[in-house]
Amino acid sequence: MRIEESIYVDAPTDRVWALIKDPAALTGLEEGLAIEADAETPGGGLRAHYRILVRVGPTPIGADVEIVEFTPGRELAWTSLTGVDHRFRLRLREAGAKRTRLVLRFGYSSAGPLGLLADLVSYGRLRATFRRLLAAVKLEAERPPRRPRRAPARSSNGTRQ
Amino acid sequence: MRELLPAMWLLASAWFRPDIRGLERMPRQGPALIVGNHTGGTNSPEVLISQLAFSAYFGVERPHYQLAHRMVLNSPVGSIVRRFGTVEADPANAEAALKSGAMVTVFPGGDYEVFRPSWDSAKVDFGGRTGFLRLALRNDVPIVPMVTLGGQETALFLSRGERLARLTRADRVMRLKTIPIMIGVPFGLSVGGFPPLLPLPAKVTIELLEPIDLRARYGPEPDVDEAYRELIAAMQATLSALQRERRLPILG
Repeated sequence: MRIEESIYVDAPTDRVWALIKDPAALTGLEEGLAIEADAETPGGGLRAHYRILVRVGPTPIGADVEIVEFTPGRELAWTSLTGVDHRFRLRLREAGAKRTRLVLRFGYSSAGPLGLLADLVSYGRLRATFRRLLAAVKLEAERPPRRPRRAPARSSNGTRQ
Repeated sequence: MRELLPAMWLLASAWFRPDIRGLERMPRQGPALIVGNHTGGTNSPEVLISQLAFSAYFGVERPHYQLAHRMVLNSPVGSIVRRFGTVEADPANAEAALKSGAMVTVFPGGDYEVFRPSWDSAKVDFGGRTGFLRLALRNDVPIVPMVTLGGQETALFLSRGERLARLTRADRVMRLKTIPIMIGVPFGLSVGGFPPLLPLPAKVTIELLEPIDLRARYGPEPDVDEAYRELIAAMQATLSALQRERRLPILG
């Protein structure tokens, strides 16, 4: 099975890349997805390992994955080492001034006689999860940067004015 | 296992609507002894569901064995359950599995607990069996308590039939301490598992508790009886809480 979702983000590619370059940072953006960095490959990047948990049924489905493509500002892809066989890719492309097209591709296949049926049953939920993930990335990328709070002006005797 | 997992998970999810909690509490790697209350008679839905859940969560690459009575392995489903990592309930098998770094699930209550009457569904009853604690201590592995509710609603379990087992001398000849008497579908009355029953689609809830390191909690020479009492109390408290959540039998 293959899922492809895309979204336009009103933010430059480097801003979007900063949000997705470490997959562990995606945890919390979408409740159906949890990603944890492997302590043995800290720092992320190419060949880094992560543990992925995606909720598609009564229990999250887990897999250990390895980053197989890491082109800053353009591509991030991983493939599964254990668990359900899958590939995942996030592609960023400039779509105008301060605008980015973010594409998510997810391919997966379950083994066995009813593997295709299991894939079909999980398709809708997975697609919705990834759609929400892209929407959450967009929301985060378009959020105005937080300005540092100015300290309130104080009078010479220390009271607020 | 990898080939059977999607189909079995699909069927088990549709039939038992499992609700599995606390998987994140399991040790991320290494051996562990998972200790469960046994439910559901010969069908024991938690055996299949927990195996599927662990395989889905950790991946089929993480080895997990379950100990079962020899009769299960010699039954028509024996070849399937063996593929899912079920081995004969024998301390040597459990030790070998733990030493290899695998997770091992045991149901200390065995046939005594699994055939308890349906009205005792929310009762943990290991029958005083403490061998699993010595197994964990010998191998220095953590215990992960696993509490299941719902299996006793897959049929109407009337009696363990202990007296019947003694009267027929099955306890001596076949080492069967129980000849359970149940009512279920499609044949109605079932005695000693014959005729076999189709499990009713009862909702099965499983909760894994925090792992217990026996020596860290009870010292270098733990008192097995004390550890047993506290473990049963913790599992019973969880099972009672799950029972309070349940609104209707079977439906959950």
